[in-house]
Amino acid sequence: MISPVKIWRRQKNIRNMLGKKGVVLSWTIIYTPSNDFKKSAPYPVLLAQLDSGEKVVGQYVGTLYNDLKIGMRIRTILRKTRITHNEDIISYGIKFTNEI
Amino acid sequence: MISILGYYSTQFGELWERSLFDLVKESIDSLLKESKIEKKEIDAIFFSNMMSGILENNLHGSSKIAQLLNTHIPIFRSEAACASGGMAVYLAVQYLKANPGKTVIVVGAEKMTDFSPEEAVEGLMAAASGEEQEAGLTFPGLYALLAQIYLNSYHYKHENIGAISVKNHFHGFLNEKAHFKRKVTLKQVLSSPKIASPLGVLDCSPISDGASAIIITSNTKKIKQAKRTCSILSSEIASDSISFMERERLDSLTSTVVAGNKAFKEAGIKRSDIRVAELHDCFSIAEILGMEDLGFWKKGEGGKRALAYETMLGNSGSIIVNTSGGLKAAGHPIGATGIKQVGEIFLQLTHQADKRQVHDVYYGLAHNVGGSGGTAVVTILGI
Repeated sequence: MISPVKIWRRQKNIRNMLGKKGVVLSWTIIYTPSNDFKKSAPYPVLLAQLDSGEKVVGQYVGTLYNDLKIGMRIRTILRKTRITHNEDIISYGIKFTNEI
Repeated sequence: MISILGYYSTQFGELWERSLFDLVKESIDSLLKESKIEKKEIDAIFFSNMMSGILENNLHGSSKIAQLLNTHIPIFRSEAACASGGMAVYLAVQYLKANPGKTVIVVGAEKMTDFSPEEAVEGLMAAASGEEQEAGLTFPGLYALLAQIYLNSYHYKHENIGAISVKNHFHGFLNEKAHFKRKVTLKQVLSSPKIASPLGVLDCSPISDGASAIIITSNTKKIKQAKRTCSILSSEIASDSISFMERERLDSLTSTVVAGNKAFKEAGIKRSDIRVAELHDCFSIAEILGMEDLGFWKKGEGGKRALAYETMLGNSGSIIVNTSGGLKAAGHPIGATGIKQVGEIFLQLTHQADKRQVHDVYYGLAHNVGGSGGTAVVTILGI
């Protein structure tokens, strides 16, 4: 379990990162994750540079799973991150989808 | 002058019958016995370990070592993820510079195979940033991101990095203490099941148990008496942001560049003087980045030179890299790795490397990286 206060601290600034567009700098597909991500595997993770300049890492949940490329355009969205236990607080974070 | 008087490493691998401190005790007892040094001659111990607190609820290992050895000498623990061992060597060298005439043991150990891959991955990821953890990244994942950038920037294919694993498994085949004493082909590397694409399981160092220890001294009498010894000409450390996305360059680890430049300057030798080196090949891409960042190869040349197997045993005129088998084949018990690297160079410089011996070696280098480059330690040895 990840502590609620830790989630609260981490999630405070997420809203500033939402709906931003950017470009893929690198990508991978994770096949061997840690426990909290086991149910999602295999899943793609991107390193993206937003048009505002910041670099961000996050999972990709768009439709181009089999066609990921460096240089591809993306946008940031809010999604659940890790699989938490039934009574834990849900952990939200930034993920990526197609730019549209 | 600071010199190494002896080195001992346990077998690396799945050692289910032995605990973390069984391994520590074996390495210290055997080191003292083989080096013909009495326990009472040791003035301090530096202990390197990363994960016992996370995985085994087992901290304050320094005191556990005091109990095992029935001693009251100072014992320090270093933790810098996979560079814990290199950091312990660095700290021991600093201690000896501040305390002339003393003799210390540097011992590193890790117990990892009691745990599932998911538990081990979670423990290891404690050494990455919160953002990287929340993205579901793993260390193979972080190095896969670096690999994609490298392959894309310099127009290489997977085979250009996979060749590193072929070479290091060939070297591991010659090392009795290695986790994997078997050769692999490039075809096997390229077709091995993916861990984090493009990296397959044969691009990745394993989860291993093991311990390694060295004795180092600034006592001139002991150095003169020693049958086999080599000097630590320099040991330098550099840091960088824990999160690799905060860094300017993504095709290079700046901490390695900084530590390497400082270490060569301090040692007063040239890159071309180094004939044998242990590099931090936690993943195949990492050795290529290391060769370039240390200045042995030009940036971007690594993929081509790796596929030419330039640094494999038997190639005369070239630097030979990771004769131990590297992290890839010798195994990667985190806390032990940085000390095993220095130990392997000691074996090479004192002509004790058996089938792995590189000829006409006078200088060697060990390169140990923590995390995705948040810490790097470069240690240069000479005879």
